[in-house]
Amino acid sequence: MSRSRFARVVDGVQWAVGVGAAAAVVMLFSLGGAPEDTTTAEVVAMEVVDPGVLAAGQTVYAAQCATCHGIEGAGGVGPSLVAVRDRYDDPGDQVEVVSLGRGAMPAFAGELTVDEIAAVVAYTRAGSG
Amino acid sequence: MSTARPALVLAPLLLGAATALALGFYATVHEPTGRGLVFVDAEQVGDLKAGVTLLVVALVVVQLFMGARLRSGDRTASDGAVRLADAHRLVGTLAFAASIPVAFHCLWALGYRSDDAVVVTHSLVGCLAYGLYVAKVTAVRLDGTARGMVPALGVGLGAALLLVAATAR
Repeated sequence: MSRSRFARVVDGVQWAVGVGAAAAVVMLFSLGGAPEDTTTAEVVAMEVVDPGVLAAGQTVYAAQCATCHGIEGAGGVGPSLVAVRDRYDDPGDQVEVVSLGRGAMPAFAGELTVDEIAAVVAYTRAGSG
Repeated sequence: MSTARPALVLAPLLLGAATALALGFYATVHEPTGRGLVFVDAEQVGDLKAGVTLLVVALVVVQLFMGARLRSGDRTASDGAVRLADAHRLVGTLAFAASIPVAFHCLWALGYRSDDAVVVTHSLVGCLAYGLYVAKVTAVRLDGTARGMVPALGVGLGAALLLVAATAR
């Protein structure tokens, strides 16, 4: 019994979607992950500390973070950042929280560049937040 | 009356389990990028994912109804039954296709997180859903699987996708 035209269309759609799914799997591997080590190293280097980076971090902090964490970083809706170094011994962990968000905190990876995230993390870790 | 062959019951389940585990393994070892999709900015990707998830939920509901109708209706190969089966295939394929960019972003940009019960549930059930999908589309193509296996996998898949959507943020 010959298959209907509709059935052949569905076959075609299934093949196309199968190829698309295979392409997505290939992309998962070929696009790679975040250069975490580089970012962490950048923040560590910034902690040395470049005044220009701190100024940039302060600007980002005032625009994006102060509303929840307070102008002085003493906390508000979000937790205090005064002793943020104690909570995140590795600055890369703090970069990850800022980038990807955690709990009620939104992800900033889309709002801020890698350099801006590194700068604001360096700024808060310098005790200025 | 035909009896199920154990190998044909196990094969889809093993393939599905391997798929779910592989996705979970990838999400665990991959360093999440925190970026948007290739063709969508990171700030817009949340809205896109919410919209696509709604579409997938709608397709899943339609799919479950059609699956139930296929099970309860006339099993003879009437034109209507064949057309309904093809429509069921098409809607399932479209739901799967729509879910790919959402899952891709979850795996590639967000990765696995264990700090929040809802997110953990979303991650685990998301991987399970794709495992169930692979098991179902494998089982449906094999003669000799256990009677009721395909509908059971279909219902499990539908429930898993609805739970994934309910735990999305």
